[in-house]
Amino acid sequence: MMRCEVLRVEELTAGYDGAAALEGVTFSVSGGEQIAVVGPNGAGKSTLFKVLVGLLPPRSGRVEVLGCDPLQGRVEVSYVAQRGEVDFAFPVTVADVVMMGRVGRMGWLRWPSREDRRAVVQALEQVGLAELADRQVGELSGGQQQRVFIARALAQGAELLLMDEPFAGVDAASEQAILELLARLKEGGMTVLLSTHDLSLAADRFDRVLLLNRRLIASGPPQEVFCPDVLRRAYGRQLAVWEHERGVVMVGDGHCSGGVEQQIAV
Amino acid sequence: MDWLLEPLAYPFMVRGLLASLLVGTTCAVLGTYVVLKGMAFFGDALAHAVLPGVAVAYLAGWPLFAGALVAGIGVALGIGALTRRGRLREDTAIGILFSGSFALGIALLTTVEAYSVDLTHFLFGNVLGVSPADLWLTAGLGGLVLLLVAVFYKEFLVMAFDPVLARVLRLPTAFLHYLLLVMLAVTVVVSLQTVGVALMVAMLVTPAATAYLLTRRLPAMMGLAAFFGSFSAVAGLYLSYYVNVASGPAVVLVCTFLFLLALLLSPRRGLVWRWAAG
Repeated sequence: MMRCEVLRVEELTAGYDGAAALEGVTFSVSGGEQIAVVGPNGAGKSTLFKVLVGLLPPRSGRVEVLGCDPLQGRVEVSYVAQRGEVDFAFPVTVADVVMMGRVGRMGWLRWPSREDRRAVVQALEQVGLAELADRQVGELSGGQQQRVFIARALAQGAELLLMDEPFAGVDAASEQAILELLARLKEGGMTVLLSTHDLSLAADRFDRVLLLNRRLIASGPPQEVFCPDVLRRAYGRQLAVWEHERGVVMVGDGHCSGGVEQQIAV
Repeated sequence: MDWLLEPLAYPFMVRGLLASLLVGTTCAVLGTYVVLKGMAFFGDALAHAVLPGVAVAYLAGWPLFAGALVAGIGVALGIGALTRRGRLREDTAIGILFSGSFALGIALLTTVEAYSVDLTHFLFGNVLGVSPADLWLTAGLGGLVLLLVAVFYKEFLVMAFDPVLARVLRLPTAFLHYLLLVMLAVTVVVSLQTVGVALMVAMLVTPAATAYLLTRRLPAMMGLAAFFGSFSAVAGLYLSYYVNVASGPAVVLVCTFLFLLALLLSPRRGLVWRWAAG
């Protein structure tokens, strides 16, 4: 089945002051694809997301999200920032946070309508947090908080979901719950770009991997991307990589993922 | 009951009480955002920075309100612009503008002979000198600020909780940012006469912080803050009437006392509760 193109990035160069964090990046994404974005620290993963969502104008190149320039943008893109960027002690409930996804379409001087409230309830049911709707967000676990943000994206009506390091500081069971949720959303056609340091998770759970290190090193199915030559090009001396009869063995210094050794069987 | 009613026999006392109530409520509700966004230093700076405007108006015989309003809005927008450019850290920019304009204000006032009484009024408030016209102005501007808080409730909420989402949703973030700063300036000006420049920040921050210790819901936090703010204003005024201390400090002391009570006794989060829970 032909899926329409959700995202097209051509020769994108972007960054803050000084050297560009991303240079000459080109790729495209079709509807319903779920892609893991990997690469060493400082590879430009967060920068890429900020450009895609329209928070950072590109220095050069072209970006089209759902056929539009993200800077002019429609609001069908949802961005879940890294955990550290949110104040979870803030006095809002889970339902309040999800309702924030609706604010863009409510318009000025409007209070949430019945339809808005129904969308919030539905979104919370989809992520399995309906019973926690009235809790303050800080009372939830890290994994549940990530699901709250996914619910917010659903309430927002997002067609493209960008998640920056959603598994950082999340336990294995919650990680599993998030992955299952993303798999279910995939059936509904939700396109997801998710950055992670966990290469084995990227290999096991995603059909496609974008490997970044300022430039796009590789893009494709994990078995193509995770081969020794390509990994060495991305990680350089941060990672020792060699081929083994049962797969690729990599040893890193562990400051990315907390683990010292990652083995990917492909 | 007589002790409650006795001060009400004086019209200036009634006006003072009404003004304090309005100021306590307005400051506390807006103060909720000040506390949540960590803008306490900004609020303090803004309060001090209106002094030159007040001084110029005072020297020229213009209404003090107008002078303060112009200075407050000017400084609020100035700090906003200075920090949005990102050339200086925000607290540095605030520190410079705040002390500079405060010094200018005092310098201007000291050109007048026998300035010290008026200076004291500006610094610590003179709630018993509220005229009927002042009271109307306080009610009008305070009401306007409260109205704006209600009208832009969901936008300010998104801005405060998740500024990135606000931009993703294409909310006019710069407009909302400056609007909040101008509302803060107006609130400062409205409160000038009641608590004065030096203690202003307490009215913004303390009731909201007290409420923050007691609830994790924004509407409840605003309501509680408004209650603590207005209660402190009234209780402080009675205190100053009977104990014969200056009214501004009395109001602020009541605020602080309530905060300490909440800090000790708030359910689950209070120190006593935690101590009892081991």
